[in-house]
Amino acid sequence: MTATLLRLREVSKSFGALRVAEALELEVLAGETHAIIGPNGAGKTSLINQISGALAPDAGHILFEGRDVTQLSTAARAHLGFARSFQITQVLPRFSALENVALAAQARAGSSFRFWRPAAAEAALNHTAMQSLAMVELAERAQAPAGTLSHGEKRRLEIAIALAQAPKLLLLDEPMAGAGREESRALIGMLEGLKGRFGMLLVEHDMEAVFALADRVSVLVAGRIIATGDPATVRANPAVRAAYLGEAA
Amino acid sequence: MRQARRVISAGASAAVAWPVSFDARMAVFYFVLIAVLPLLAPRLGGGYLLIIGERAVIFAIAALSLELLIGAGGLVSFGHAAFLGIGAYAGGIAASHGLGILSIALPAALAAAAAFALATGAIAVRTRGVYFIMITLAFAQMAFFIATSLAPYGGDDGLTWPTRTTVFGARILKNETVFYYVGLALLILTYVCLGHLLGSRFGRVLRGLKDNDTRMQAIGFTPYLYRLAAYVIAGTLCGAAGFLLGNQAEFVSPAYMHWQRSGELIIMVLLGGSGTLYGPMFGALVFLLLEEALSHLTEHWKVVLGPALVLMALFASGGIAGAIAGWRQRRGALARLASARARSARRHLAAGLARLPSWHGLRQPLRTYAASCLDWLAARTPARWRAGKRALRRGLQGSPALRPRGLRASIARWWQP
Repeated sequence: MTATLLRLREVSKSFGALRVAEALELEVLAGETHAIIGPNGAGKTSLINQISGALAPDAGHILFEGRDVTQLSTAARAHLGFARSFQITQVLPRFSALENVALAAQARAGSSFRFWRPAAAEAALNHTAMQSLAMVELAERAQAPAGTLSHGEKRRLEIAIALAQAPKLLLLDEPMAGAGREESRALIGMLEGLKGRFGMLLVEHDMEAVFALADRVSVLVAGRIIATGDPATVRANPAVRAAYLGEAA
Repeated sequence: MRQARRVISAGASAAVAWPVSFDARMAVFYFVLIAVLPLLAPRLGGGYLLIIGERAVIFAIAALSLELLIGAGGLVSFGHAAFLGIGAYAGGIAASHGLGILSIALPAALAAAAAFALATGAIAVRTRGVYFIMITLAFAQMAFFIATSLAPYGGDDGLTWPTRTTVFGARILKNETVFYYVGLALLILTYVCLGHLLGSRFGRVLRGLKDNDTRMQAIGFTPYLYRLAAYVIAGTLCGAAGFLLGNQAEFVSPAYMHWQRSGELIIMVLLGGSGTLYGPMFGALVFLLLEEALSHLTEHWKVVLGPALVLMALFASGGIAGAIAGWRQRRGALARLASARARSARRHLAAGLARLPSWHGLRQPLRTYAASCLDWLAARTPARWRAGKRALRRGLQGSPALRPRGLRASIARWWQP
C-alpha cells in the first residue's frame, strides 16, 4: 500500500449559484498519475486552483502528506513540493528560458534576499536549470526570451520549471490544450518518462493522453466525483458514459 | 550525452548580464559630463551652473530610487517626493538643534525615510496598479500636511537650515565644489549598487514579479516580501537624496513633498527611459535644464512643458533611452542590410566578369578594381545607409526596426493602431 500524497476532504466551492465542488473527496497516491476528466464547466480548473492555493475552498480540507495545507499560500505550498502548469501558459516573457528555470531553482536553493552577487553567474542554479531544460529538449533554446518561444516550447518550458522545483506533486492543467497532434505525442512521451518520480494530477480533455498516462481516472461532473478507478473500468462505467459522453444510461 | 553536457556548460557561461554594458557606457558618459561641468562653469555662468549640476545629481539619485520601483518592480509610486521631504526635514531638524553633524543627521534622515517607507509600504504594497498610485499619493499628501503643521519647524514657510552638515567637525560641504563632487560620488555609488542589486537574486525576483507574478508565486516566491523590501530600499535611498537636497538649498519646506514634485520625479524617470539606469539620470538632467531654460523664456513655462511631455508620452514612450535604443537597432539593421546587399552585388559582379572573354589579361585587373570599389562603398557608413534605404524602398519594411519614421508616420501609427 503506497502512501497517500494528497487528500481532499469534503472540499466545497461555489461561485454564486454555480457549484464547482460539492463535498469533494479525492486522493492522489505517491508516484501515481491521477487524471481528472469531465465535461466543460465541471470545475476541473477550479479544483486545480484550490489544490495549488490560487483559490480558497469555501469548506473542507486539503491534506498534503497528512498535513493540512488549506490555509497556506501558493508560495508556501510550492515550498512543500507543489508544482504546476497552467491552462494558459505562464512564463516570464522577458526572461530567457534559462532564467525562467533558474528562478525556480533559486526559489528552493537558499535565501533570495541577496543583493550583490550576480544571480546569472550562479553556476549551481544554471546547471540545475540546464539539466531541466535538457530533459524537455529545450537546451538549444536556453538563451531565447521565453516570450519568443512557440506555444509547444512554452508548454515544455513550464514542465522544465516544474522539474527544477523538484516537486512531490505536479499539477498539470490541460497540458495538451492548443498543442498540435505531433506536439501532443511528444509531450505524452515526455510525461511518460517522468511517471513515477512524483505524484501527478492531470486535468485533460485529450482522451488519448489520459489513457496513455493515467494510473487512475476520476470523473468530475458538476462539482462531484462520480467515479474513480483504473482507466478501463471508468471507461466501461455506465454512469460515466451517461454524464460524460451524453449517452443514455 | 557529451553534447548535452557541452550545451549545459555553454548555457551556464553565456548567462544574461544585467545591466547591459551599453547602460554602463552611457552612465560613464553622464558621469564624465557632470564631472567636467565645473571646469566649464567660469565661462558659462559661474556658480549658477554649479548649482544646476548639484541639483541634477541629487535628482538623479531620487530618480534612480524611483526607477527601482517603476522599472524593476512595476510599482508606479506617486508619492515618492515624500521621501525627499522626510530626508530634508530630518537633516534640517537635526541641524536646528545643533546636531547638524554627519554621524547624527545622515543616519536620522535614512532611518526616518526607512521607517516611513516600512509603515506606508506595508499597506501600499498590498495593492497594484492604479490603487498603488492612489495610496502612495495619499500617504505623501499626509506627510505634506503634517509638514505644514510643524509650527516649531517653520510650518508652511519651511525651515532654514542654520548650516550645512559638518563632516567630523569640518565645514567642508560649505565649499560648493566639494559638495558638487561629493554628490557626484554618491550618485556613482548609487548607480553601482543599484546595478548590482538588479542583477542579484533579489533583483531577479523583483523583475520576475513584474513580468508575471502568477508564475513567481507558483514557484514559491511571496510577492509581498520582495516588493516591500524594494519599497523600503527605494524610500531610504530617496531619503538620502532629500538629505542632500536640504543641504544644497540649506532650506526645506513642505513643497518638497508636494504631489507635483512626485509627478516630476515620475516624469524624470519616463523622460529618461524606464528599464535602464542611465535613462533616469539623463531624464533628471534634461528635466531640470528644460525647467531652467523655459522659465527664462516665459513666466508661464509650464504651458510649454506640459504639451511637450504629452507629445513625448505619445510619440516617444521609451524616453531618451528608448529613442537611443531604437536608433541603435535601426542603425544595426540598416548596416546588416547594406552589407548583405554589397556582398550579393559583389557575387553577381564576379559571376558576370567570369563570363567575359579574357581581353589580353584585362579581366583580372577589372575584377579587382570593381571589387575594391564595392569595398570602398561598403566601408563608408553613408553609403551603407543609402544601400540600406534602397533596400527599404524595395519593400523590406516588414521588420519593426525598419518601420517608416518621422512625425507623419508616428501620427498615422498612433491614430490607427
